[in-house]
Amino acid sequence: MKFFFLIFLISIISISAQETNFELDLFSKENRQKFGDHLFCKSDYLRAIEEYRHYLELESNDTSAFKLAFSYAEIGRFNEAEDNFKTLFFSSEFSEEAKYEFFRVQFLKHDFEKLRSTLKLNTYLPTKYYDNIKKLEYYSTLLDENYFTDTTKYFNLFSNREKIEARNFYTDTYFPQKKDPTLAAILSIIPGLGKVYTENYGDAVTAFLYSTLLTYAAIDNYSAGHKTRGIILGSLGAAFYAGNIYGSYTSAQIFNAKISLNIDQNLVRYLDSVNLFAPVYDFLCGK
Amino acid sequence: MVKILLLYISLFSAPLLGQVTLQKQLELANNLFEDSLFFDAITEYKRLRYFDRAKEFDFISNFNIGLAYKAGAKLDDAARYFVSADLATSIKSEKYLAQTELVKVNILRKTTTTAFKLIDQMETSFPNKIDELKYWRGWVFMFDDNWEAASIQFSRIDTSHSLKLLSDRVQNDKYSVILAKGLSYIVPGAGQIYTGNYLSGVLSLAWNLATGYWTVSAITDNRVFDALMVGNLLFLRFYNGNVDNAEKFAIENNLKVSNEALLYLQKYYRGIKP
Repeated sequence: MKFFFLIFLISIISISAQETNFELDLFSKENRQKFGDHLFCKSDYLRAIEEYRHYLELESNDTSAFKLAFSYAEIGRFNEAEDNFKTLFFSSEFSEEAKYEFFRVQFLKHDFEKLRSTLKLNTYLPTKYYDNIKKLEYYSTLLDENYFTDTTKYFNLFSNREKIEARNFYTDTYFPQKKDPTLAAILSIIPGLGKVYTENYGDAVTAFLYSTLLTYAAIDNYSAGHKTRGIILGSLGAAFYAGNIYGSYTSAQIFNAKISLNIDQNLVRYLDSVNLFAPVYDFLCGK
Repeated sequence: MVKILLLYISLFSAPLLGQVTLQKQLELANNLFEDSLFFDAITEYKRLRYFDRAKEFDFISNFNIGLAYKAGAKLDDAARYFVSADLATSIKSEKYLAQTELVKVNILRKTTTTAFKLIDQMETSFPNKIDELKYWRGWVFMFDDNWEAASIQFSRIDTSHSLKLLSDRVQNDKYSVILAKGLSYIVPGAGQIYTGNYLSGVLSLAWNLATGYWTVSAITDNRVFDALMVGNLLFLRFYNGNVDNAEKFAIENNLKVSNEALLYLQKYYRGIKP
């Protein structure tokens, strides 16, 4: 009786121990993979890479290989990401996804020329995600200053909602409402008018008041016989007048720079919000 | 019978070895931590956390991950793990350790409002640690650039506390912004001279005298328009500029004094630091 009670007791302890710590070798390939997956889903990509690398040295696994490449891309190690995605291009169950990610990495690298030239290689093109890549190609043309293309062939790829954004970004990029700095300078012959043109109204009023009032005070003093004061005020008036012209020129340049910056920022924000048209991968974190 | 029992024990005791494995894992992580290999130490503590299903090592792993992140100046990550360490334990001494580290991290990242709130809460939870909490409150005041309050805090621990003396010195070395502005209102340039910017002070005085003279001379000659023009566009511009400059110089100098004191603390202070 005592014996069976002892057996029962040991069983209970063992089972509860199993509940707590079943794994013995924390560095076995299975545990490396499990821990790597855990780190990957916690976005700790740098550490996940180490685990996957050790695991993949011992066993071949497409999911882990994909995650390894994906981790490289997430931490900005694009060349390693490219190389690792390439290993999955053929005879892998994630061949299509790897090919898409390969192009996404090109986009993230801003290597738009390579992206467009690689698109010509049919063996690299994923049929499943062809449209997604063409969308990336379209946006790459907007971000690439040295490339201008016909848009009509791209717009049909987008959904109705995406199409509106695609058209807006196209108009903003290629036909921005910029100001001409030379025109702004010429308009400033009438003090402040150049600043009105660049929509800098506060500065326009200041430029007008300072230039006209100082010029008037200079003439008034000079004609009243206060030559020194007239010269000082006249010099100040001339400085303000010259500053008003130069200021209008730079104001137009600043206006244009702001427009370009805003377009780029909005574009990047939009592309982030649509995650570069990336598909949702259920196999990554079991979502 | 005995043989069967031994066989049974040997089969079912294997999982108990898991405990030994985790203990060894903790030792490995600790060794890496002690060797200042913080990245690897964090990885191994995280591995320990992941496989420690019973959460037996939850406090120590979270706490040490926090310390490792803090050593790598990743203060936000450190704070996150100290919070986890605090939640992972019900032992008061461990809770105190975790919360104190959280206060220190908040001092270092200059989120002083949070640090003050934490200390307020800790004073209620740990009434026997009041002196230590006063000490950390003093540090929060120093990082909050309130050296006068810091001095008061440290004097509550010891009237000749080295940090009290340092706080007093910093407070004395700092310029009064109100005095600098006030002096400049009365005598243009005086505020700049008070803050040690002599050339700026003299130039300011000269411009104010010249433009002031032109304004007064225009008024006495009944040239009202001239007086308004010179007074508004020149005299007031230099007069207001002089006051603004005095304020700016005082603030800049005070910042320099504070930063030098904090640098001194970082390099040479031998007491407990955040």
